Amino acid sequence: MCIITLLLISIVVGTGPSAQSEQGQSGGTIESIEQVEETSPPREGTPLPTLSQARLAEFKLADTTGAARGLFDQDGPDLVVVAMISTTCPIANASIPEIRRLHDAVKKVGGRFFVVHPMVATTAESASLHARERQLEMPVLLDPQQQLVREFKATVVPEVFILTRSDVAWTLRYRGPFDNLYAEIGRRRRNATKAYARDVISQIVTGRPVPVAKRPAVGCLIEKVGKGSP
Amino acid sequence: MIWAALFITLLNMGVSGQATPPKIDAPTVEPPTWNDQIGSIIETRCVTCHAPGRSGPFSLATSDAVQNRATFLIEVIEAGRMPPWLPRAGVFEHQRTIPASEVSAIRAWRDGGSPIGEGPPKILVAAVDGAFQTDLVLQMPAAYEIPEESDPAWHSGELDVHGVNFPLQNSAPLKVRAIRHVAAAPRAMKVAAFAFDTTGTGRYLDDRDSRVGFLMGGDAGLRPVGADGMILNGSGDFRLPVGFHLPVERGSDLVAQFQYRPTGKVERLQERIELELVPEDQESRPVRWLPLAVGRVQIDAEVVKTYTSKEIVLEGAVDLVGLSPRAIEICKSLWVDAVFPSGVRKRILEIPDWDHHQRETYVPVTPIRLSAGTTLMASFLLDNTSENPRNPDDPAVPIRRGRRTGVLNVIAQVAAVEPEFDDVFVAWRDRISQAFMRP
Ligand code: HEC
Repeated sequence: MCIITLLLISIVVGTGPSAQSEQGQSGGTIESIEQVEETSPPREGTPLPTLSQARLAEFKLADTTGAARGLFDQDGPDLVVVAMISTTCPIANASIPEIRRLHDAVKKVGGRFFVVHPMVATTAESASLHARERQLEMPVLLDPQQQLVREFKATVVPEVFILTRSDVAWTLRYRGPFDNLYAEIGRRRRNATKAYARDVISQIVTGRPVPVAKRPAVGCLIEKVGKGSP
Repeated sequence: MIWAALFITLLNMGVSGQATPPKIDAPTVEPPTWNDQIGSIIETRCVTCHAPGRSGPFSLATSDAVQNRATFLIEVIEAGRMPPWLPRAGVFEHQRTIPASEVSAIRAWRDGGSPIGEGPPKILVAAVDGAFQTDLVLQMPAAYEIPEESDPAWHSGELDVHGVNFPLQNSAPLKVRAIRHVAAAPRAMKVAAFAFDTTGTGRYLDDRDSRVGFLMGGDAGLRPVGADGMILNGSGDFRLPVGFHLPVERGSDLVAQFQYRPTGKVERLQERIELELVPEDQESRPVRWLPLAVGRVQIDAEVVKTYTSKEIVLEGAVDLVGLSPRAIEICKSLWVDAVFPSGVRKRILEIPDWDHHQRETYVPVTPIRLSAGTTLMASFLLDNTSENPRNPDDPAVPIRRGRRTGVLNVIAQVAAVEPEFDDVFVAWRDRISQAFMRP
């Protein structure tokens, strides 16, 4: 992983010619033809999901100290990454090192990164213990009412959401797994061979198209709160 | 609670009764409650592992914990993923399956609003594995650190295993009838495989490696690791049927191979092994290992291919008391066949969806008698395509492995019926295993 990390950092930091160096490296395989065909990239005319600044600005979630935090502030950066995880899902936990790498990559380019816990049973205490144990240094938020879950139509953890803003609209550039560590529940590779989310960050930063905007997330089902209500 | 459930039922009937004709075929059965049914289902089927300090990633000991992820639990059970149990046929000890009626009950409970029933919600208790008499304790002197994720540098080799040599230094032979493994980090530990060793291989490997234990390995001379049993962490002790024992020569070591899976944080591997011995006055027969193995694997990228072990024809009658499979990660399925002298063929083990991280020794509930002249063989379906999600290499690469790596084998644990056959068994078996351990 070290080599890949270094490579991506150099891409993300240095734009322009150095970005070319990614071609043919493991980060670049994401754009191979078969990949693109298999997951059907956004075709022209299929707009990416967008959300207005005004709407997303409403989203305030409590962090582990209880303070309300906005995720999509008016005066914040134009890149926001949300990682939905849980404290107990083994698939989410196995992704923690990759979450830290992604956080580093996002921080380097000036974006904001949030961890969000959507599981009903997660408390501020359990989330902060989890973050401490696993050295998560980004803001960790709780979504006990599953507001963001509904907004993003999230169904499982872990899933990452990468959004960028232009003018007053946010576009969901990518949603899905961080990488290909898990093909499905119980089918785990020893190590991921594709870093989907980090690749998307570098594509965004270098102004290249993001070929695959959505991949099926693999993980633990989010039990919906207030079942029965529409 | 009963009143509440009734009330909801009545209400539903009332509402639907007004708008549409009443459904006659939908019986208005009250959902089962946590206290009367669901708690005990979860307790027997899941809580042995899903309790604090156990192998499962979260506890399912309370009604809240189950209710808060009920849909996911049902999904995972229906996918056949939980409780973990690989064999399709056969009747084995620790058989962890869940009848469809119990799954429907859990679903009905969730759909019915997860009622608790009478009294306060029952807190479930993790069962303690039956009476184990600890005669010997072996403990790692220090911990080995399991990294937070696998080291990608090891891709094509066997990874995420750590060998440990436990000196026994027994001054007299031992008769071991059960092995218990106590994991220091139960959520990271997957499989422990054992081999009693008189060759000093374990010591040698241990001395050469500056850490506690040694990387990889675990085969002791000609004896493959797993020859003396394998335990899936959380699945209970490895116990031979009454009347059988693992013979341990004097001056032995126990070589153990621990297979772990990084959990995303650094964990400690500092295992304890306990041995239970056959009481002095009890008659018992020695259990010997017999390899059904493929010595060499050569498979090109993007190829799917079945390998079958050398056929072993038993020279004397034996009782089969265990089957311990081991196969590289690209193995999709494996099976073991016995062809009796009459020509009748019987599948004695079938694993349709192999998972390297869920293997264990399968102990038939009653030993299987195999008469002289019976042929045994194991088959392995390998899928070395890039699409196989368990292929550690993506894209797939050609795999060439052999010699002592024990890439594909099922160890049959057997005991000779006649003492005379046991006398010649070891020499006969060693001739067979030379072929794959020293090709
Ligand atoms: C023999 C131990 C054992 C038993 C029994 C068991 N589990 Fe598990 N379970 C595990 C382990 C270990 C994991 C972590 C995943 C892994 O390592 O494969 C797990 C993971 C899970 C997961 C997370 C998804 C996944 O597969 O990673 C769910 C959900 C689950 N178990 C539900 C259940 C339910 C429901 C039962 C009872 C019907 C049950 N388990 C019985 C050991 C067990």
